[in-house]
Amino acid sequence: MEQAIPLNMNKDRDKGFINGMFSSIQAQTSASCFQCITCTNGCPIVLNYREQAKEKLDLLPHQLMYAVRLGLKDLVLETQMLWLCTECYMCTEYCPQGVHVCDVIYELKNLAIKERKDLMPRGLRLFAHTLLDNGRTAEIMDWEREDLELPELSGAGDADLQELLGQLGLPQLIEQEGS
Amino acid sequence: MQSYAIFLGCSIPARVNHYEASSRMVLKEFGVDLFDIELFSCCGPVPLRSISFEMFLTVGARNLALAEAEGLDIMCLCSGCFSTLSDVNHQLREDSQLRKDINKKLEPAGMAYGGKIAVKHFLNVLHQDVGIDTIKKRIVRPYKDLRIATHYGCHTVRPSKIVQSSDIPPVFFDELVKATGAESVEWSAKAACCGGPVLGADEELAMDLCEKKLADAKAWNADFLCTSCPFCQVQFDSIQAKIASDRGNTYDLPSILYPQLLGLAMDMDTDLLGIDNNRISLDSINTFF
Repeated sequence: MEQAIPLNMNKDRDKGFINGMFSSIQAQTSASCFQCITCTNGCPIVLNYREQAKEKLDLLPHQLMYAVRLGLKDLVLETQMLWLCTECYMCTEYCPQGVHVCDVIYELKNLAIKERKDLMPRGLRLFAHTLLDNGRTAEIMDWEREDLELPELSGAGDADLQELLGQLGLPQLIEQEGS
Repeated sequence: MQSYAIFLGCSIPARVNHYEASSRMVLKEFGVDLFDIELFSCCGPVPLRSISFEMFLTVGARNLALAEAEGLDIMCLCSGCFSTLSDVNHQLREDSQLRKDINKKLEPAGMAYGGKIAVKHFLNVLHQDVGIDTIKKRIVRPYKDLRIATHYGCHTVRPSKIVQSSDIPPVFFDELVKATGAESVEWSAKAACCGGPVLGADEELAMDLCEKKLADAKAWNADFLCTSCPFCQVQFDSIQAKIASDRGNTYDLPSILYPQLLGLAMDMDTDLLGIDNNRISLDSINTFF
């Protein structure tokens, strides 16, 4: 028998989370899930881990959708599935109920970063710092562009992006708690 | 023929410049005009959306607004940029209140997006604007007995409503490959994830996903993989090489970018197509003419 996740529905349920978290029309579709498991069966990450999937991912996509409906905020935000999802949209494409599973996952990650900075993966923090420091995610290979007779890139857009991300509050959002 | 603002994103100028070079060359041959917009930036990709939906929308809207101000639709080479900008465009066109809110954030920069432009992928431009018949007429060195594992990946085709991919399973990339005389094999993983998006989060997982695809393409006796996205190309080229050196698993399945495959069949300059810029040698392609 598999070990059940210990739940206290009086204590663990967060009604504010159910009612308030979804800012996009896409993510609101999670209410239509009827647990057919199509999303989980089509997920490349679940397929990769096979019998280890639960151990590696905590909640599988269909379980995640159900936990969202139950309002189990901490359980949902702490699941590894959020950070290992490749956002390939396989689940979303084939969901018979039109649930935008990937978009729900995106919104859960937004919420985790806003309220539980301890959960933000190192790679994601690194991405944000790179974007803030350089205005792009990777360095331009100028010599190769020259060899291939490609136009020079001035970097003017990169500087504008850095300024915009500053105005939007990205530096504050990714700051580590207590630092 | 149509004109487009060419959108490069970050990954191509950093890792796959030969994709841009070969794409510019073939599109020029077909009379598609490309304009470079100096102020374009990073698209605001998957990791930014993971951090903040609002920032994702605002960064995307900024890029869309720049093209709109020039009266141009956008053509992306990268499937990631294509997915991001298509998604932002979809949200802002559907929801005028959301567009107003996001435009407020662009106000300090003196910009606004009116929801008037279209976003296309390079493959869509070839398939829809240029057309298969026109492409076929320009093939001077058709391939013979070449088996290609055509790789759509995720974001050129999903979510289908947002990227406006009409056929499920999709056929447009297979048709483009077949136009060169090559065969497009019916491998099962052609529209599955390459693993590229998790490369930063979990390299072992990215390598696992890549290996699954390589093994599948190999099982279908493919001679080459063919891609149209820098992330997929990096996975199948550099990461395949890393899988061989780190894990000792060799697949010997080179990956060619679609504009390189097309450009060679159109007898274009191999140096400018960047044939030698691939990590895993493409030399064996010469045995298929």
